[in-house]
Amino acid sequence: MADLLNIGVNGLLAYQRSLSTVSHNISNVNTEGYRRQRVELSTQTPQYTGSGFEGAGVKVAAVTSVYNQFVETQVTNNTSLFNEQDTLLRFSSDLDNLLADPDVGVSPVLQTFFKSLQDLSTDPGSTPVRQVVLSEAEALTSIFNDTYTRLNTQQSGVNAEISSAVNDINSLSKSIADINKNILLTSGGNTNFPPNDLIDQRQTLINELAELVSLNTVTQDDGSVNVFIGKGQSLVVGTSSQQLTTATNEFDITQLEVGISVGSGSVNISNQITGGKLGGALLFRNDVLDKAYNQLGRVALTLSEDINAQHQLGYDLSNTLGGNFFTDLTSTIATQNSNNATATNHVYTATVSDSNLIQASNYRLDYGTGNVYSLTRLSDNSVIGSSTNLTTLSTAVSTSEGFTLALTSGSSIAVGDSFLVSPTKNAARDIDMALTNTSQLATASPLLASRSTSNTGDANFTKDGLISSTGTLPTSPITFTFSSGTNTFVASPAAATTPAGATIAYNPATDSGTEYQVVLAGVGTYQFTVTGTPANGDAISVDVNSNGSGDNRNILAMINLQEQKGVANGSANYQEAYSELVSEIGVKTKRAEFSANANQVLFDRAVSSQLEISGVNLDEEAADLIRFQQSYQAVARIITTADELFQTLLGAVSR
Amino acid sequence: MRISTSQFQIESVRRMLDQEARLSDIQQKISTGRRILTPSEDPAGAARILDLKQVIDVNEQYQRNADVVEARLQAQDVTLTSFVDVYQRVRELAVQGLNDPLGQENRDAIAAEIRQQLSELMSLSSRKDGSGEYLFSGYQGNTNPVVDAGSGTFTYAGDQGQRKIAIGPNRSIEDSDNGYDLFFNIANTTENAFSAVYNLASDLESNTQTGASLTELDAVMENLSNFRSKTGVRLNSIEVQNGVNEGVVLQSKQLLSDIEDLDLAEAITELNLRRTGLEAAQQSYVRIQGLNLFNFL
Repeated sequence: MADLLNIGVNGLLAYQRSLSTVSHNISNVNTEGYRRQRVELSTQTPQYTGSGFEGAGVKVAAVTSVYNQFVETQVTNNTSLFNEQDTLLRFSSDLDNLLADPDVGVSPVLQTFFKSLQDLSTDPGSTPVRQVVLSEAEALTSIFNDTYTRLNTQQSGVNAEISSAVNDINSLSKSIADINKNILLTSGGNTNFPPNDLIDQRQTLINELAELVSLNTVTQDDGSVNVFIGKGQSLVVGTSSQQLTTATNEFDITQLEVGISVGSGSVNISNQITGGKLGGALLFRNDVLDKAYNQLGRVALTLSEDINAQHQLGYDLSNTLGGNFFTDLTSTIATQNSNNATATNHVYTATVSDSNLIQASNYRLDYGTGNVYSLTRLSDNSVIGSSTNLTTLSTAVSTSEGFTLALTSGSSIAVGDSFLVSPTKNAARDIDMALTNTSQLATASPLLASRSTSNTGDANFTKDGLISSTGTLPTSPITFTFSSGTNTFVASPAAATTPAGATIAYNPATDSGTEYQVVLAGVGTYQFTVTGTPANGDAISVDVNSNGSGDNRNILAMINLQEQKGVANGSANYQEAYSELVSEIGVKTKRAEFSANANQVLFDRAVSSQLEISGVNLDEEAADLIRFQQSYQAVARIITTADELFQTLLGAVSR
Repeated sequence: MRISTSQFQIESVRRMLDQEARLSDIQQKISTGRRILTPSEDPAGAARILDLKQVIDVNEQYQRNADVVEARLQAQDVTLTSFVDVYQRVRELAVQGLNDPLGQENRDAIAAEIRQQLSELMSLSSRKDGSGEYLFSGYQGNTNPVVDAGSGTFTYAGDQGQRKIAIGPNRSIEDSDNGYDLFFNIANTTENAFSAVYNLASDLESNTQTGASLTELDAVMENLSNFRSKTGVRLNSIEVQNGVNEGVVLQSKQLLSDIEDLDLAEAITELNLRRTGLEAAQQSYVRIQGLNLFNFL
């Protein structure tokens, strides 16, 4: 009977625990990260009696959370992947939206600028039309500036994302370390009764951490979990956590980088970070934003260089050669790396030599072992050239990349130093008007050919103009006189051309419409087309084109730049180069969207299977509640029965 | 399959949100009428839109340029026609003046009218265009092209520049001719359009007129007719080029519309489909979510 009571009491305790676990499950049906718990019942150790083993009732063998470690790891990993792509998508679509409307942005303003030049070509002398050209050019520089500012806003957004992610990572890793500590203190080594709720909380924190950055976890024998990020950088080890830091980029103070404290300093681990919001923000910066800066800058740079070059070959209303139309963007100071040796004081200047060759990339100039300079293009990490002689390197670079490098100041440099060169990055920020006055617009061509009044033939020089200029103009006319005996035009005075007394072979029967070039001494190269049939002795003289307010030849040359494929080594015109930026951002956003959607599906599926296994189902719990209640009632009957047996026995004795 | 209670909730809500997002997307497309809301939806299409807009813009600009050139050439044509008309009258007077039986008085009267016509010619040569620049002074739009230096000497003060204006890709056209070629550089005579007339008047006044004057007048008129027909040819080619430009603009606009504009019928159908989907998701959620064993305990 004592055994009967024992069995009853054991049963009551076991079902009480079962009922309380069911209640715990029901109460936590909406708790995030809660994994349903199950009481595992088993038989008590049986007693050996004379009549063999006698059962001793039920006991609670363990209270466990129901989960599958593989599924849990999948949830963690997919959380990182999904958040990375989602963050990339969020930033990219911002940029995508910025470039979205075809009616605003650089494209329409670029077209309006060239339209205003077209209008000017029909009426070059008109001050109001000239004013329109200046205003449209001003609008063009502003839209480049504005777009650059918007990219900067994105850059700040990335920086904000990085610093908030780093803060959150630090507080989460500290919390995880704290929970590790609590788990060690409370579990007391009994593996049958693990602190399930603490473990759930820790898993929730790990998943929150995974939203920020990709991680690996290793569960130790004592129940604590170690967390690693990047290439095995430990974030949580047992009960202690490692702090991440943020610091500005060694080359560019506008960029934040992620570091990890090592000793007294910190090491940049940005390029090791993947996954999560942090990985997504860094991915966006490296993959999309940096390129956008350079592509936008390249359009601004090439446009301003081309327009400037042509404008300088023109002649303005006050009878002087044209100056810069836009501010000169050719010179870029190479930035010094803050990690360079303290004695280093070298400052380099990169100067654009051929804007058509300029690529939308940054470069790194390294000074390495054996005092060798080498230049690496960062967009594809290819080494452009290396030499112990900077001038030799510069020559090689200028033929392939379109800029030169020169030491501006400084006398000492140390092996291991590096410098960042960004020929295009800031062009959209720096582009500005150089012209201020409508009369400075060089619409005309500086030289004009006139036929002598004594000519009897009808030969003429047309489509003429300077194609290169030294900045000075001839002081007296240069006359080209035709000799029918030799079919040549001969220049005089002889000293006015290089070589002296240049001759132009012109056969009227076959050469009409042919283009010629003559180098005018001290002036530049004069290009012209000869038409018609000259008589012997006919003369055409080339002189400075004064008061040519109606001359539109230089404007026509500037208009031709619009359709000219002068960007990216002759592959695109300005519009196409800008379209390329728009479509590239579009493609990248689309890819991010696709990837984010795919990862969303994987993430949702992982969460679903996690919930399938570990989530609370109220119907199931209700059924359990009934089941355990009935069992409890039944076990209570054992105690009543034992009592009745006892009473029966007492009754029998007392008679 | 086991389903947990929160999983059911989460997934139902997610499905509804999905439907709502699609509904909002199609609604936005319908309200803007644009098939592509952001370049990422169709990167190639978005770039093509920008490029096509440039093609349209450039060609419409060519049309504008052509309008300016056309107006100038018409002004030149009208002026040259008047010039030739005046010359015709001068020639009639010359024929009259060369008639032997005339007395000096009559010749003087004819000479006076010829001088009258000469000043008309001078006035025609200094015609200005719509923006106040001289039509016939080459590039020097602010210089009156013909200078009367007195005693029958007329000089050309402009230059030999001739402005070209783009009216199509690789197609530009001269918007006027300079006074040098029109009035001074005349084949088969050493006179210019003004001195020929002046000398005729002087000859009549001094009774030294000869038939050579007529030859000179004819040479000037032939030169002017040449330029009038050149002007006509240019006006014609503007018409032709206008047709080409309009064709390009029309074609590009059609292409642009194909890429840029939403097919409304298709979009409305999709909108209805999405709406039905959302309604179904909402209704089924409301029906199922209340089911629970606890209701029966």
